[in-house]
Amino acid sequence: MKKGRDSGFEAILFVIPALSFYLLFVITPWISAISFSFFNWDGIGSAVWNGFKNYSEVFHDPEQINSIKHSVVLIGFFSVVPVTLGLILANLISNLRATSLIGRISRVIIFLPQVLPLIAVGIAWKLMYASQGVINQFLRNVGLEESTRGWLGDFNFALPAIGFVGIWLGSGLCLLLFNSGIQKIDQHLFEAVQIDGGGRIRAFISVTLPSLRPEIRFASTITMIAALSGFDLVYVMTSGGPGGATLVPGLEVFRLAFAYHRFGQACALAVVLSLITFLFILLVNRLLKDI
Amino acid sequence: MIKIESALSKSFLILMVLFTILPVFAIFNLSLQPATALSTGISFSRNLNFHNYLDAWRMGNFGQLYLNSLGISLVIVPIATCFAVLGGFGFYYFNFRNKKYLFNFFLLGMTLPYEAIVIPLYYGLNSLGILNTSWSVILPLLGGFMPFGIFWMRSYFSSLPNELAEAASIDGASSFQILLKIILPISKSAILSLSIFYYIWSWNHFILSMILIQDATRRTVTTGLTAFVGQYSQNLPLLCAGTMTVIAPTILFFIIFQRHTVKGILDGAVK
Repeated sequence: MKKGRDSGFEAILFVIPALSFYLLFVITPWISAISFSFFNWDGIGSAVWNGFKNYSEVFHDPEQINSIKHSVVLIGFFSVVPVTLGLILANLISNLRATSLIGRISRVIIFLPQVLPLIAVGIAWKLMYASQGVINQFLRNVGLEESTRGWLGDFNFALPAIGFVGIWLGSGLCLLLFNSGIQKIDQHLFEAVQIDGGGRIRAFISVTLPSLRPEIRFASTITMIAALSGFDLVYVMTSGGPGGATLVPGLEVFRLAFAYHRFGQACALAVVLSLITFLFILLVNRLLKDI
Repeated sequence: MIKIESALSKSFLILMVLFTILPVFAIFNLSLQPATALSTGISFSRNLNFHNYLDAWRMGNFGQLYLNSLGISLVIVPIATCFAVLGGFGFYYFNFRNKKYLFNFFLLGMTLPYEAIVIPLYYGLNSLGILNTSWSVILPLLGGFMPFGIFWMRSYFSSLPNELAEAASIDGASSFQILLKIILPISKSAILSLSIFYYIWSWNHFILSMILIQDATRRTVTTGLTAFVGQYSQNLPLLCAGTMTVIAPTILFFIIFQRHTVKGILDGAVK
């Protein structure tokens, strides 16, 4: 490398504006969340040292541990299903050129969920799920009258119903990512499989999947982050109800702090949430690095 | 055979498009119904009612909300884009000790949910005396936007041919001149994509403004919308008109710049 490029001092000058905002407004609050998490504090009086008790409470309080379980379920809906569905669909439409008119228009529309505010997405889906909403209207029209219900008010269906919105949010992005990934694959690889007498499934497993590894990694990361920070959607769709069936950690942090005034406890859950997010992302990236 | 396959993939694609557009179409459809509409299903009545939009705009005070959110975005977008370009260039152009660790330290920020830092922010910003002002959303978002921006710009710069910067540095150009005169002119599209993302994310952001701005006159569009929806939960068409009012600028912006967003993500994010 050239000499001028080895200047650590100069490099810092370029990085420092970004670094200072990042340190001041993301890392510092996160570190103080960690230190808050070892105290009992109602937000007004003085804080009392509480050791690791808030952390053991995270795993013993049914409300908190359930919220964590729910977010793991949501990862299935927000991440696993869209990535799988995206792979299948992208493979099915791989022969359709992206430059054709229908290809161009559809990729704009399919990308749309990524740019809508989740609050509006939640409002729209809440109406879709209402007892007189589009989902039940559809079920009635195809003769499944007895399957209609108020989806978000149903203890068993509320969480999957929110999860389904995750499928709606993520599948299009995965489809587009994988589709553009497939276009970049060297056609000779597919021909080689054909010469060997391999069919489409062989080609998918031995060529498409390994070549799409970076896209799969990126898609899983993005969708997992969305799954674990489900605050906006849940807040506007159910507020955690019915009976806590859709509580997620982000919302529970908010409730612990501003409804129950247990700030130390809220911070302990917040720290656990960020560790879980970090571990899942790390795991996915490690797993997909060298298959 | 080819024809059948092509028709099949087209129909899959169309199905996916319909599925994607359905909820948006449903609220748009409902927003045109008379205020007495009780069903939230899709209906095709003839007398469309655009009055809901005027009512929603007035009753939800959306003019004020628009101004508040626009103000926040107008501060965030140029500053965040500028810092991300500088930082991304720093990581691309220089070698220094612990560079990899510092970069990973930035990446860590992408996994930190805002929910995890909002409580300390509440107290920290309160002691700075800027709670309840636009700054309480602007400053944390600037910090929170840095990890993606640096990641994005660095991976774009790294895809440029190395010889460009090499040649200029042999000619004795300073690193800042290299960024300004050589790198920037050929990076316009990546920078534009990044600023569009920043605009959309800052306009759509919810949790920070909900907790950090309690003052109703200083709310952003998203927090204002949830308050509006809570207040008029009985008047569904009105509520849908309000929702459409909030998402319309994002959709328009996205369609105008779709070349830079969709293509940007598809080509740029995975390197």
